[in-house]
Amino acid sequence: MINRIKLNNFGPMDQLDWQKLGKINLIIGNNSSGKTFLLKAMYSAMRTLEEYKRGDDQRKASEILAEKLYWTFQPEKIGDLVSKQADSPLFLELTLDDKTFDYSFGKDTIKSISSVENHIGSRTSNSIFLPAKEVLSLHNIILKSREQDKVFGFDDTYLDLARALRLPTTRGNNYPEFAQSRQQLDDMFGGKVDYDESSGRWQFKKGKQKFPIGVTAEGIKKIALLDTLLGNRYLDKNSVVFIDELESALHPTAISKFIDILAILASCGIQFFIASHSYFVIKKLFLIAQEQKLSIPTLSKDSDTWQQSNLLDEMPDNAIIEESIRLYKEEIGLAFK
Amino acid sequence: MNVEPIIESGMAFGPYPDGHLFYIEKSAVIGKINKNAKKDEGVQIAELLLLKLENELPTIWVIEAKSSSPQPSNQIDFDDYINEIREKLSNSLSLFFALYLKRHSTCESELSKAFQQANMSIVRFNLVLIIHDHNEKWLQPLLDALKTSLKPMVKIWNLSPTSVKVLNDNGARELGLIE
Repeated sequence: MINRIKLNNFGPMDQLDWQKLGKINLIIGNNSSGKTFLLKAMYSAMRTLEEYKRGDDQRKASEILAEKLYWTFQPEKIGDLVSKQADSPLFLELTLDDKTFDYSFGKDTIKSISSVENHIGSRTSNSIFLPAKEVLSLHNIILKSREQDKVFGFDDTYLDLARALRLPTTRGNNYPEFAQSRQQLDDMFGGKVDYDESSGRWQFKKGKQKFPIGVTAEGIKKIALLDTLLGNRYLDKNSVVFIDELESALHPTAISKFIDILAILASCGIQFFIASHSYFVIKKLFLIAQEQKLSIPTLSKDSDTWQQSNLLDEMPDNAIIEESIRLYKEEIGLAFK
Repeated sequence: MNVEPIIESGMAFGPYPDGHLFYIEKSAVIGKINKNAKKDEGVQIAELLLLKLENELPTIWVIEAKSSSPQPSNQIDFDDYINEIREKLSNSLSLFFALYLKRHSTCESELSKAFQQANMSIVRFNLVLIIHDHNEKWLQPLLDALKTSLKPMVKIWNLSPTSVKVLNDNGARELGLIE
């Protein structure tokens, strides 16, 4: 499990030292506050560790990292990831199970990172990034765009996910919590999304009816991602899952059910980092923290600085709740106009 | 049992077990404090404190009852309303501890034995606004605003993050606060 993430001069983040991370972690902030950037920074570090020494891969960690940063953020050169105003190099340190992985590089770096310290070694579990946009109906396009055409557009979070979804579902012997979670995910929409080998397409099956993925609701496609990754064993109890805008395409009722399922998965070991703008996500996680006495570290962007808090201790001051109150006041005010 | 329930803002509070209600709004101590105060200038105070045993843990509910709230149909200022409730609940908690700690020697006996004997290091406090006949859908923004406003109190007294509550009659009845 990731215990701590420390960043200096990384894109929009001048300085951040987020400590005592939990099984579920929440990042809230306005558009362009850097939430996705932070998730991607953590994800690229995790995938570097997970690809390092896997199978017969002989690449050095620094080589994997440089590729990962290039294809995840897709800058002209990776030196462009260093904060524009910074006088010192970009620095990232990730602590995983109390061991550290860190690297740094300056603005002139093109593709070679010389300063990489890896005390973690390699890792057999997989992390995944669930982007805000849906992936299933674009599955083949993502793979072609990246594997054949090798062009920018879909970054590595999309490519890794598309590849992970390609793994066939394995039957039986799954962790009980995973099986229970998959059942609950299926129950949410009364059907199941799966990959049809003969047509090479995803489809939604409800009873005896089959629907092409293109006409399937966005929310169902989103839920299907997690269901598939649990079913094909891409995820295990040591996986880290990064979810960008958890609420996208989901009705508030589905948000609550989805988060309940995440809490079950977290209780059996999976670690989650969730970025959100949603009132319902924050409220639901706050209630889970209170009911289960679960530490849910929260990072919120307040003007220029990141504030750290914990939903177990308090509901952090944040613009999302403030906006809800403001709308209520506006509604009251409307009556007098 | 307190035989007669207390009627506040159109709601009947009680009857409760003997000694478990402290009617702070009508207490001698608040009367003494506000003795020479002009109208609306004295110490603002909530209605009552209720001591309940919940899951074998003593809980003191500090209750402010209201018959109205900011709505499109009236001209109550939202911020003034929230400030008033915050002040009443905060003052009530402070005054209770002042009594418990015997800061007001002449009024010490006002607190029943049940309150006096409660272990203040473990007792839970809930700061509650109950609004008569309030639409359930409109409770949430009031709760959010009141929580934000009472945050310093919650932190100072190390109360639970869920200690601030806004209820309507139905919610208060379900929790056994009103008849």
